[in-house]
Amino acid sequence: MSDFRVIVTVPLNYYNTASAVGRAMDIDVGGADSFVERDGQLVAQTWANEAFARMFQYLISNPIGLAQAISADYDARWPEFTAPSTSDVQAFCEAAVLTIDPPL
Amino acid sequence: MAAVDRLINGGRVLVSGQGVAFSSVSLLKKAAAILTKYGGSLWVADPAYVFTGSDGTGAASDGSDTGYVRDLCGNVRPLTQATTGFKPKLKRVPKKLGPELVTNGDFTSNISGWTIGTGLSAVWASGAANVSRSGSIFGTAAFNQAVSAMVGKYYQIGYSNTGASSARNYVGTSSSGSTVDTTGNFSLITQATSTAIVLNYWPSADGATITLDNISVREVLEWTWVWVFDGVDDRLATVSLPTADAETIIAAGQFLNTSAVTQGLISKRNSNFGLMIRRETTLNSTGYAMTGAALESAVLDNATYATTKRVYAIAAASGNKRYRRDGAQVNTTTGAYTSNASILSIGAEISSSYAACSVFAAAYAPAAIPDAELLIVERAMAQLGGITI
Repeated sequence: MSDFRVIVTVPLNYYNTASAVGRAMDIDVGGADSFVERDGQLVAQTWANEAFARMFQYLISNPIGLAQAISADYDARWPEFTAPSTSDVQAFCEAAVLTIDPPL
Repeated sequence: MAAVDRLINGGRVLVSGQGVAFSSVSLLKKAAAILTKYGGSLWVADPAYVFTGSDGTGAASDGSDTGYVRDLCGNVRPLTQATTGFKPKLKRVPKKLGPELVTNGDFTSNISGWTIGTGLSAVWASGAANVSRSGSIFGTAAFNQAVSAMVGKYYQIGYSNTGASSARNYVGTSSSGSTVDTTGNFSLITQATSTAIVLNYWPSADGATITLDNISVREVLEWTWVWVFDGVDDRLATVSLPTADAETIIAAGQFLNTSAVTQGLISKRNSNFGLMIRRETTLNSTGYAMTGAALESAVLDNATYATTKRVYAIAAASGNKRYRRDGAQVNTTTGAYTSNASILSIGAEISSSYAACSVFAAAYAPAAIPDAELLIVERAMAQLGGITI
């Protein structure tokens, strides 16, 4: 069951990087729309199983690994787009606030 | 006795020789046929028609994301959601419950039928039970009742606690079960592992008082499926649809909270154009059939039924707009109807006013479906949701 609630919040000025990260992190094709403006911030949230939630937590805390994962996904699924740079992903991770709510 | 010849053709069973034509076509197929006749669409929360990926791949099951829903009317207008974070969950939920098994779980006039464990005290208070703890408690000391169960059967267990937040609910046999600390309304589906379900409640903090009410255990007799929309960003939608002189929208579902915010259940609307059914900040549910210049609307339900399972429908044509609830007309308006060229959205008003709701089925037609045929569609949806109409 996907009962962990994963919420990522970043400032509005990270819109482009957030969209680029969302595109790669979503297994479906609409990930670029994952971050929406709410209360003056960009927020993305999804239900996830525990393994996915922990993986996301790991990647946010390891920006270089996240950048590599994004780059690999862009090569495989999004050759028409340019993956965000490692420095952009690092800045995104430093600005991001990750919350994982466990199942009730 | 006249001979009876049975002809089975495409799901129809025709019995000749008695002047009788008996149809075994399911209500759902009839509903799909009616909607198809009007160029419409029907979407049903069921793994047979639901897929996890927005491209229509990935089998769905209990707890899956919903990325694609087949339209039962020839799949003309599938519903999709390509962003994983916005996908409603497909959930298997009870449709029909057996009789109440708890004795005096609503504490109408006293707390009889319950055992009070050592270290606890309990008093009746205005239709609820106040359970207090003083000092240490040991073992399974609790405000307690055991109900008979059958091994392997599923049961829906519920209660509410409006007292201290340290309510401890321990459900199961005397030696095993699940433990939850919570306030508010609590609901759990559990499979019985013994011939008794033991309900144990106690304040987990010394000196605290919990206020219990509506304690319930009922066997799940029948199951159904819903999409659960989170009320934050979940929605399903068609591609953009053209305008039409007349339109019908139908949705069967249930709002899941009583938050005083607008919550869009189904919508093909923008500004003063199109159709929409939503719950208001007043907790009334309202249907909108726009004139092109104004938000013409009518109440579908009042706040008393804010979280009741319902089938809502609007059939709108200029001068004749019918607002229906559970298969019966509840209101009309007579203004012009001006459609909107847009997506049809379920779980939100296009891209705002997201609804925390569960939806069994929904439908759309670019026509004002007559009442008699609309009723068949509404009955099919009601049957899916276990709604009596």
